[in-house]
Amino acid sequence: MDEQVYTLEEIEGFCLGSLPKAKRSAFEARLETDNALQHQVKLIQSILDGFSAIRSEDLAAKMKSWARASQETEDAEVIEWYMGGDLGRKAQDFVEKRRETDPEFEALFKSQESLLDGFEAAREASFVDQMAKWEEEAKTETPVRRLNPWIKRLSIASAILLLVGIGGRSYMKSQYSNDKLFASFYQMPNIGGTLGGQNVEGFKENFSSAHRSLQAQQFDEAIQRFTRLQTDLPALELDPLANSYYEDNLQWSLLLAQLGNDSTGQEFYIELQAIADDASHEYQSNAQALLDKLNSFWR
Amino acid sequence: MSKYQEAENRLKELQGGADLVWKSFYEDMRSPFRLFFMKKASLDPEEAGQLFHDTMIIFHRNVIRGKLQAPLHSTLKTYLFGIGKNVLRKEGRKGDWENEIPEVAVEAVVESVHERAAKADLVRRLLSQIGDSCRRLLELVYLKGYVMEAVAKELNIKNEGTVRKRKFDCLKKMRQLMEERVDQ
Repeated sequence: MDEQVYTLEEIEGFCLGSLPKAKRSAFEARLETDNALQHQVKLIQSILDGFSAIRSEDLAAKMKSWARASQETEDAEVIEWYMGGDLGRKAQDFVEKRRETDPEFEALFKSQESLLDGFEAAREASFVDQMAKWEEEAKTETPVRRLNPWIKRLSIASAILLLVGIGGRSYMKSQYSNDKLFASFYQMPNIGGTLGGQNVEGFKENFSSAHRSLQAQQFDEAIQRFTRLQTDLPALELDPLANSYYEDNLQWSLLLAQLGNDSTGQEFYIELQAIADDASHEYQSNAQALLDKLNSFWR
Repeated sequence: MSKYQEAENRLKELQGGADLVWKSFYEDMRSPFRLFFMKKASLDPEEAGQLFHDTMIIFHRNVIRGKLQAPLHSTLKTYLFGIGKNVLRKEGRKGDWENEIPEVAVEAVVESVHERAAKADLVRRLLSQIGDSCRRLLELVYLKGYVMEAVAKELNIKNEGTVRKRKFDCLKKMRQLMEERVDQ
């Protein structure tokens, strides 16, 4: 009986799984008893596995370089997931440990935290602005028109009523509380760089301490420190740019400390208005935004 | 129209083997994969990253070898996650994902770096002995994944039939070289 002689093409096809079903079954049946064929299949399979391994090595090397190129993005992503409570316990521990041991990661974490807090504050502010606009529109409507808009806005009104009725008012008041406003407006300044001179170094150290007090919401202490720094600044005789930076920062930081401390009397508003009116002031737009919020319906 | 037409279109692009296509797939899958396994399998970021790379190697192998073909029974993402699950299972690890990833019939064989290097090294040595014209042709077919028509064009060979014949002549040479090594 003539035995089927399998070509190299068929052996390759079998190894790659591309033989048609019937042929494959016949091949497999033959393989069970044909040692020579088994040997040939083994050799060809090794060669094909070797080519596959080269391709896998190539992909592995490419993936390593893609991963290296996106390391900072990956770190920022993990931090965002951590802050969103999306990670399992082991990954959370990993992040916490890395914060302790990797200063660059810790710096990224802190800046990410500020960024996300800022986005949250912006989202809330945007929603509050939208509701204020709806209220204004309702006030300016004529009696004849009043009916239709209220019907059209039934779903919006019921959302507002829902918020107000279920304690939304107290929620919004809390969002506009002094300490919440402080948290959304405070940002740690850049304390690095050298200005030279022992007095200046001492000033910078005190400046850092004052901001650490503010960050820790030790408002009484922060007020004292910033007030003292305002007194010390003129004696340093810094260049105009550096002087302006510190002057503006001290003025703004002192105001925020007073806000956090609930010390928002007449003097506070006079100072705040002065910054809001000063186009050359570093924190003019912040002051304007803070004034808007302090004058908000929710206060 | 297939339920997974978009996935099948993407699979076709991946089968073409272009770097940009694979990089795009890598970047699309990396974040959801890492997040899923960090959350559901309690992996840390480094473990999740390594699992992703191991899974991609298996996925790549299945695509290039034609083991994954249309019509698909899931999205490529589900298939990839299924491989990841199988890899972890082989390592004896469990996860809280049972209802979220359907089973995929994929042999999750993760070669060690050394095993893979040994296999690759063998073929590289054979290629260095086989002569330039065979080496070039086999590289186009088995490393770049060119079809016969593309190989013919690349090597200025008149027709596909000639390319096919030369391919098997070269493969035969490699087999003979291997046999000589085995006999030594």
